[in-house]
Amino acid sequence: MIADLWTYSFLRYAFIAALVIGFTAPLIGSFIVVRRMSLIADALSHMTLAGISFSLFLGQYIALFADLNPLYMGTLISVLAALGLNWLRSKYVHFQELSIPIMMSAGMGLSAIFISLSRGFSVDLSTLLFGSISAVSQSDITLIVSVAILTVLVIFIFYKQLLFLSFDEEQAKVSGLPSTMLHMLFMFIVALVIAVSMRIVGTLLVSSLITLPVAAALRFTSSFKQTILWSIIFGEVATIGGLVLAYDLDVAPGGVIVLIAVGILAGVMILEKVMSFRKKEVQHE
Amino acid sequence: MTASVVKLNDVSYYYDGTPALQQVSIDIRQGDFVAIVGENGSGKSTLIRTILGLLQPQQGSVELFGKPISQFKDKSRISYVSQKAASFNSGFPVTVEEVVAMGRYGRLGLFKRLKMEDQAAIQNALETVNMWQFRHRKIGDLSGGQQQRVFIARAMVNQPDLLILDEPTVGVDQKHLQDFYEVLHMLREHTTCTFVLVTHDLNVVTDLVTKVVHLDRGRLACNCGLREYSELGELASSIKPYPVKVLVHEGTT
Repeated sequence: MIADLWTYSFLRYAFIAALVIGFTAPLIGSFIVVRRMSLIADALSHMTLAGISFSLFLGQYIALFADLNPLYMGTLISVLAALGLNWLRSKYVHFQELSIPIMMSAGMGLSAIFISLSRGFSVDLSTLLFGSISAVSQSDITLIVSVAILTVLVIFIFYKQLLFLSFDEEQAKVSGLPSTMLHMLFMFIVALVIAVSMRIVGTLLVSSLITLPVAAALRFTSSFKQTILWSIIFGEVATIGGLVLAYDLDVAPGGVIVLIAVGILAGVMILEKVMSFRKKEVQHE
Repeated sequence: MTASVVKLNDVSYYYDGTPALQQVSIDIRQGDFVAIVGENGSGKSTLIRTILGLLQPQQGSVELFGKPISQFKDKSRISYVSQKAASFNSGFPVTVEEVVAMGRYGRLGLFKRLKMEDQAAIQNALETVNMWQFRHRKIGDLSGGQQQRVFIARAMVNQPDLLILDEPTVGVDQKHLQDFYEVLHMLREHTTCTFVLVTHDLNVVTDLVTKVVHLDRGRLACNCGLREYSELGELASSIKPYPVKVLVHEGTT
């Protein structure tokens, strides 16, 4: 694949996208997981799919949308869905998790309708669901890199505040942190990262890339910075490794990326078990 | 007379029309150690959350350090230790040092990093509660009593003028309870802080308490010195779940 990178521009785009997403998804995922919001990624990715299919549907009738990258509409709908999730959570104070299936069902319903209305789709459905190496365009790269820069900036500037808010929301409020503004900003970034990640891993697997590297890192890290660092390392191994394997095997990259992430998690858990067994043996001696 | 730290004037708060606090007026002065007591559901936590600005009363007003709460901006003067179990995810990957550093975040600007003086304050707070040697440990790996010491260090890292503790010993076992009260005594001795402690167990802090606020179904049943409170035998012993026998130590009011 390395040699082909210089020959085919689509491969270069896919490689850059995987590299950037392998960094941003676990970075934002670290905050999502510790805030116990893992399923939000699923709800937003389904709404992103609805946005993309809506854009493709409109593209059949309106020239403007025919030339527009459908990921733009997907990103916009993802951001609006993030605001909608907040609103739903405020309406179901005691059952906040209900907001996720509501949003997810709405996303799937809308996607099903727009996809069935648009029989002449130029994009394969499996590309949307499981990602694709050839689907990443130059304008996708612009969007993915822009979102990554924005994400890194927001995390760099608000790291302390977001960490405090994630660990102890009440205490953060008492300390005078603008918790509502920070939460909205965080949700905005989450929506952007999820929307742009689906080009490579697809709608159904975005949440895995956000959560699996973090789940593996959580097994052995004791500080939050360590968790972020190891999540990013695992994320990069999964996305780059997955992309190379997917190209060689000619399969959807999303599946391979996620399976590598699952493999990393399993490996960490096995290693943890072995270390604990050895520790016990040493203590016994 | 010392300066007012917290002043509530006729404060009432309702949850969906159900009164949780009714016309409560209290004045906490600098250097006071106030114990807030009352049965479960008497409005103790609502009172604390009102003082902290987490709840806005429907009636009455709250003043902090002589200013209306809406105009009071120097939040670093107030610290809060909540009921641990309600607010803490023990699996969260943060070290003891990171938790205490959070106490400084409220006063730091957006682009500012922790400076040497912040690091010194973190070390000082951890040494005060005898937890400096655990600074690199994950908070969830510590015992309940040790965790509570860390939360006190976080609360004390800004050297606050007012420390509010809402049933801080909930979930802490008997062995570590003693540790906690030792820390509280030590803080009382070495700082000029004003303390507000919500507790069911007045007996263990009678040598610290200067004032008792007893709430009964959201109303102020008693707002008096410890000696006066000890003379209200029936009221004092009505506190549940632990019947209270108030021991007045020499030198307390």
